[in-house]
Amino acid sequence: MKRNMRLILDANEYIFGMDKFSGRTWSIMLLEAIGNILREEADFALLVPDIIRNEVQRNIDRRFLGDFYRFISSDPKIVYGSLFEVPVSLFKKYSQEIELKEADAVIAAFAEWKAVDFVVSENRHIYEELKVDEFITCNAEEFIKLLESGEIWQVIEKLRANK
Amino acid sequence: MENKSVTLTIPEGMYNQTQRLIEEGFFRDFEDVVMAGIRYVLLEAAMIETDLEPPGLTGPERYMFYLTKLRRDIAEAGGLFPGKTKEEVIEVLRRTREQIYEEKYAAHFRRQ
Repeated sequence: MKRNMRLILDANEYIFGMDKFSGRTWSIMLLEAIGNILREEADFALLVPDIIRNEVQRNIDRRFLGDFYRFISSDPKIVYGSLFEVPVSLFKKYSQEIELKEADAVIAAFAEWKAVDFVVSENRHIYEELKVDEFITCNAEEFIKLLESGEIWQVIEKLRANK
Repeated sequence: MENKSVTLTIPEGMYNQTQRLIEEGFFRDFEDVVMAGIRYVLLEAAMIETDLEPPGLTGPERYMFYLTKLRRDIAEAGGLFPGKTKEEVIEVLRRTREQIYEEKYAAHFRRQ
């Protein structure tokens, strides 16, 4: 089976994954798992839509901005994306048909447009309520368990077969 | 060099993944896999002793270097959202997202 994965982490995963205050949370483990995937998987992309990057930047102290920028620029498999390129028809699908808030709809549209496999978020409105055929939404705990069991590759294959 | 024997318990799925790496020739045996992991952790520990990025890091090593550095610096500063619960932080982030959306993207997507 050819292994590849395209992933978006919501801003809350970066925030919780960088802040050890709450101990060894699933989000902490998630950012470490991404490090392992970057190292082990040749065909992997962590996509960072600009609104998510901005969201993190606005919620961390200025003194951390430089290192955060270097962190999300550290590997060529981490790829930025501009939301201005998202087709408006896809945006309308998520904002009008699926009735997401516009700010979430534009990220969902970006995920579909970029053929993302997983959107990982701690926000229930995303990981519980947004269920579509184009990508999988889950929280860090679910993602880590899929990854550690090795089932994640079959899940991706099934997702792509059903699109 | 003296060796120390240890007993290791890991999730079965993770063990099975290591077997795949061994079968594909990336590692000699399971001990080789474990040693690679330990070397990686020790490298990380050495990295956090300095603020400067060591030369010659690979992409994943740079990723871990800055993640480790951010965590250390944020912890020393008392955390990103001291006193706030997880749900409160998510709510702050949600408001930030909506603010950014209104400032930067709303006009673009609503006019079409």
